[in-house]
Amino acid sequence: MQISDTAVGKDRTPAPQRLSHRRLRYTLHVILRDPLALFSVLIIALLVFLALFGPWIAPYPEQGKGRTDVPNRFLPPSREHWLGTDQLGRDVLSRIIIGCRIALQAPTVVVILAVVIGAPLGALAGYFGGWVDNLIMRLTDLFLAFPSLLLAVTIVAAVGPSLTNAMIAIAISWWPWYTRLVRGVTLSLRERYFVEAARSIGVSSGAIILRHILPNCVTPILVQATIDFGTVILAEGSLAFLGLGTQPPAPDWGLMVSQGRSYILDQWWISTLPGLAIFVSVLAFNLLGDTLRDVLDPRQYR
Amino acid sequence: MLAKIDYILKRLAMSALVLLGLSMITFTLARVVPSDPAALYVGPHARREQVEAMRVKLGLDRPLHVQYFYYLRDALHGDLGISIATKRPVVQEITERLPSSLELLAAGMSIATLFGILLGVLSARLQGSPFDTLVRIFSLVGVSLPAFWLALLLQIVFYRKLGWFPITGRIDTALRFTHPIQRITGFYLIDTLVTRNWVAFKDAAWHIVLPAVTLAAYPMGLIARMTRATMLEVLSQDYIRTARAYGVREWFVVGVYALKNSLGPTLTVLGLSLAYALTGTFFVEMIFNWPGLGTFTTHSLLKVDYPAIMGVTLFAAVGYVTINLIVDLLQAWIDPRVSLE
Amino acid sequence: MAEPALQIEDLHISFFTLAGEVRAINGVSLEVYPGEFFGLVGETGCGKTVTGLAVLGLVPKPGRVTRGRILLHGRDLLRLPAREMRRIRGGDVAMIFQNPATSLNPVFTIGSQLVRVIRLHQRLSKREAVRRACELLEMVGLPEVERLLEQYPHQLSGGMLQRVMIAMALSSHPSLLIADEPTTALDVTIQAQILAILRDLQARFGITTMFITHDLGIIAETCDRVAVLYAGRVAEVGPTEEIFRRPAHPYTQGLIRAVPRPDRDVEELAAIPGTVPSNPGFLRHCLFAPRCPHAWDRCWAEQPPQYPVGEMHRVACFLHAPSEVGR
Repeated sequence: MQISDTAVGKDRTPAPQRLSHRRLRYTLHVILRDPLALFSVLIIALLVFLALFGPWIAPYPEQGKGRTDVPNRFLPPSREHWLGTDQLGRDVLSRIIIGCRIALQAPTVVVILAVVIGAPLGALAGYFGGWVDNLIMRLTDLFLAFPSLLLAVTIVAAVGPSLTNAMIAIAISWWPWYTRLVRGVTLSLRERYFVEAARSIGVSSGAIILRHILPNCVTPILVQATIDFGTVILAEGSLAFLGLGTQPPAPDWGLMVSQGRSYILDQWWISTLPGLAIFVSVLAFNLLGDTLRDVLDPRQYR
Repeated sequence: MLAKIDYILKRLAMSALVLLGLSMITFTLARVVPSDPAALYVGPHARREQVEAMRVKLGLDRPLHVQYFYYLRDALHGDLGISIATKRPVVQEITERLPSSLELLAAGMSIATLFGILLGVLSARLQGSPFDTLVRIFSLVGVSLPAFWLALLLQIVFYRKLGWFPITGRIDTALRFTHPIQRITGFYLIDTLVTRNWVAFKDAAWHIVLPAVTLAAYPMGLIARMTRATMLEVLSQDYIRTARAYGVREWFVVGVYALKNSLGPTLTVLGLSLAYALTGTFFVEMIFNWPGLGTFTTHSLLKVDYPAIMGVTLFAAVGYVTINLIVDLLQAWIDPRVSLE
Repeated sequence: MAEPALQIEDLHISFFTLAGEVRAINGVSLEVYPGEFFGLVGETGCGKTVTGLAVLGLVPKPGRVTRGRILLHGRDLLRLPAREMRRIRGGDVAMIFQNPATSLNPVFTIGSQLVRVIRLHQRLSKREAVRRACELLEMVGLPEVERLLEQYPHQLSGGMLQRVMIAMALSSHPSLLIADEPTTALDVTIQAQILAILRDLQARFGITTMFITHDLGIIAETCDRVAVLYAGRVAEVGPTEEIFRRPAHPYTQGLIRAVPRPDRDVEELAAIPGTVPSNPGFLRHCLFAPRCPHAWDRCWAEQPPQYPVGEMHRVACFLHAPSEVGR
C-alpha cells in the first residue's frame, strides 16, 4: 500500500473537475434529490448547530460541562432526562450536546493542519520530480508505514494525553494522505498542454503551482477531507477512549463511552448513546463524502 | 523473471530504510519523554546514587547518537529492553502474547476478506438490486462504526440479551484444569483441533466469535466497497463481453475471469484494512479481556512503561511493513502487466 | 434461392436509460444466405454493433430487444432458453470484436483462454484441445504457436491478437461468423491481412459471415451483399455491385458520393448535410427526410417499408414505391 506507485501518480489519471459555480449548484441539486445525501447534510448541519449553540440548548448545561449530581446517578432515560444520567448523575443528553463542540473541533483542526502541511508538499513533489519527489515520497512512506492510529497513540503516549496533543498527533499521521493525493493530481496535470504553455511564456513554477495546479486539487481534497472528518472523529474518539485524548470531566464522546464501560451491561445508556453519536456523525460524513465523490470526481482517486 | 527479482530487492531495500526511519522515531519519542527512565526503573524510593548507577547502566549518560546506535544494535539482535512494569525482556513479553493476538487478527481478517470479497462481487454483479443496496449500506455502516462501540454493542446484545457468546477472555478458566490445552503453536483453535480436544475447541471458538466479528467490521466494509467498485469497472470491460460471447458460464465469468482482474486494488485495500485491524485489536482486546499484545500495550500505556511501548510499536511497525511488502509482491505476481519499477 | 442462414425480422431494440427510452433499432429486417460474405454498413451510432450483439443475445443493459425475431436456420434465437443460447455462443455463432487488444482477458494466457473456449464446445481432453488450439493458430497464419499459447495479450500486437480472436471464433466450426468492425482499430496494412484471412476462411469453409463496418471501401472489396443501415433501420439491401452501381436510396447515394476519388479533381468534399437524428425511434416520418434532397410530403407523413428494386435488391424509400415509380 504505502510504497507502490501503481495506484497513484501514473499519468493515466484524468484531471479532476474544477469547482465552478455551476458545479456547486449541480452538487446541491444532486444532494437535495438523494435522500441519503440529504440526511447526511441535515445531520452535519445539526452537529454544527449544536457545536455552536450547545450550551444554550442543552437542558442541563452545567452537568454537560462536568457538574455532578450523584444522588441522581444511573437514572434510565425518562422525561426529565431523555437519555438518562451517568454514573455521576450527569444528564447524558446534555453531555452529548456539549460534546459536539469537542467532536467537531478535532477534525477541523486536524484536516486543516494535514492539508496545509500535506498539499504543498504533494504539489512540490509532483511538480519538480527528481530528488525533491524522492525525498518527499520516502518521507510519506515512512509515516504511512505506520498504522495512523498507532502512530498517534505512540506520540500521545510520549508527550502526554490531552485533546491538543491528540489533535497534533493525529494530524502528524494524517498529512501524508494529502501529499499523495495532491502529488497524483499534480503529476497528471504536469504533462498537460496548458502547463507547458504557461512554462513556455515564462510563468514561474511557483505561479504555475499556485494558479494552475492547486485550484485543480480542490475537488479531490474536498472529497477526501469530508470523509476524513468522519475518520478523525473516529480516531479522536478512539484516543479519548484509551485515555489518551481529552481528559475528564470534559464531555468527549469517546471518553464517555470508556467511562461508562463498567456499567455497560445494566446501565447501557451511559456508553451506548455517546457511541451512537460518534457512529451517526461518522456515517453522515462518510455518506456526504461518497455523494461528493460521485458528483465531483467520478473517476475516483482511490 | 529478472525484473521481478530486481523489484523484490528494491522493495526490500526500501522497507529496510523505512524501518530504520521508524526506529529513529520510536527512539526519539522514547527520549523525548519528560520523566527520567532511570528513575522509573529503580522506583520512587531509590536514592540518588542508585538512580545514577541505573542511568549509567542504561547508557543514558552517553550522547544521543551513541544511545541510538546501541538501541539499534540491540534491536537487531532481538533485544528491545526490559519492561519497567514486569522487569522481564520486552521481547519475551511480546512473543508470549503474540499468538493470542495473531489468532484474533487472523480470525477477524479471514472473516473480513471472505465476506468482504463475496459481498463485493455479488453486489457488483447484481448492481441496482435490493441486495446491492443492502450491501452498500452494510459496508458504509461497517466503516463508520467505532470498534469499541461495536464491541460493547455486541456484548449487550449477544451476551446480556441473548446469552449466545461469552465476552471475556479466550477460554473458560475452568477448562484450564478439566481440558487443558497443549501448547503447540499458541493458537488455541489449531492446538485444540490437532489434539482432538473438542470441548476446548468449541469453547475457544465460541470465545473468539464476538471479538473477531468486531474486528472484522471495518475491514469488511472497506474490502466490500473496494471489491464492488473494481468489479463494476471490470465487468464493463470488453474481455468480459468476449467471454460471455463464447458461452462461458456466468459464475465463471464473474467469479474467476472478472475477479482475478479485480484482485489488484482489493489487495491494496487489504493492506490498508490490516492497519485498521491492527489498531482495532487494541480496543477489542481491551473490551473482551483478550490476553494479547493489545492488552499488554494498553497496560504499558497506563503504567508509562516506555521500553514496552516502544518495543511493541517497533514490532508492530515491522510486522506491518512486512505484510505490505508481501501484499505488493502478491499484486505484482497476480497481474502480469504490473510494471515492476 | 436457398433458405437464409440468418434472418432478422422487424427487430426493435431499446435502451431504457435514466434519461428515458432510447430506441436504437427501429425495425431492422434482413437475411443473410449460407456461405455469403454479408456487409452491414452505416455511420457510427446507427446501431450496427447492437444488431450484431442482438444475434448472440448480448445486448448490454439497459438495452433490451422489444420486438422482432432473429432466426438462425429457422430457430428464433430470442426465444431460446439460456442453456441453449450459451451453447450457440461461440459454438454455432461466433463473434469477433472491434478492439482486439481489449477483447482478451489480460491476466490469463492466450492458451488458457483459447483452450477453455475449445473445451467448452467440444468434448476434448486438455491435450487434444491444446493441439487443436495450435492448429487453429497456424491456420490464421501465426508463427511459433506453442510459445504463443504461453504469452499474455499485452505481449502481442493488434494484428496478431485479432488473428487469435479469429482462431477462437473458428474453433467450433461455426455456421455464422459476425465480425464487428474487426479492422477499424488496426493499421491499413494489417487490415488488408485480416480481411484476406477472413475471405480465405469463408471461401475454404463456407462460413456465412456478417461483416459490420462503416468503411464503404471494405464493403466494395469484400462483400457479396450489403445492407445499409440508417438511424436504426435498413435503408437499402442488395448485392454489392448493384448497390454501388445503382444506389437506390438517397442516403446510399450520398454515402457513395461522399467518398473522395483519387482519379477525380475534387473541389469540395460532398458531405451529406445535417446529422443523424438523436432519438429516431419516436419519429413517425422517414428518418432520412430532413437530409434528403428528394423528400416530399409523403416522406414526412409515414415511414417507408422496403420496396423491391432489382434482383434481391430492396430499398426503404417512397421514391421506389410502385405508385411513385416514374418520379
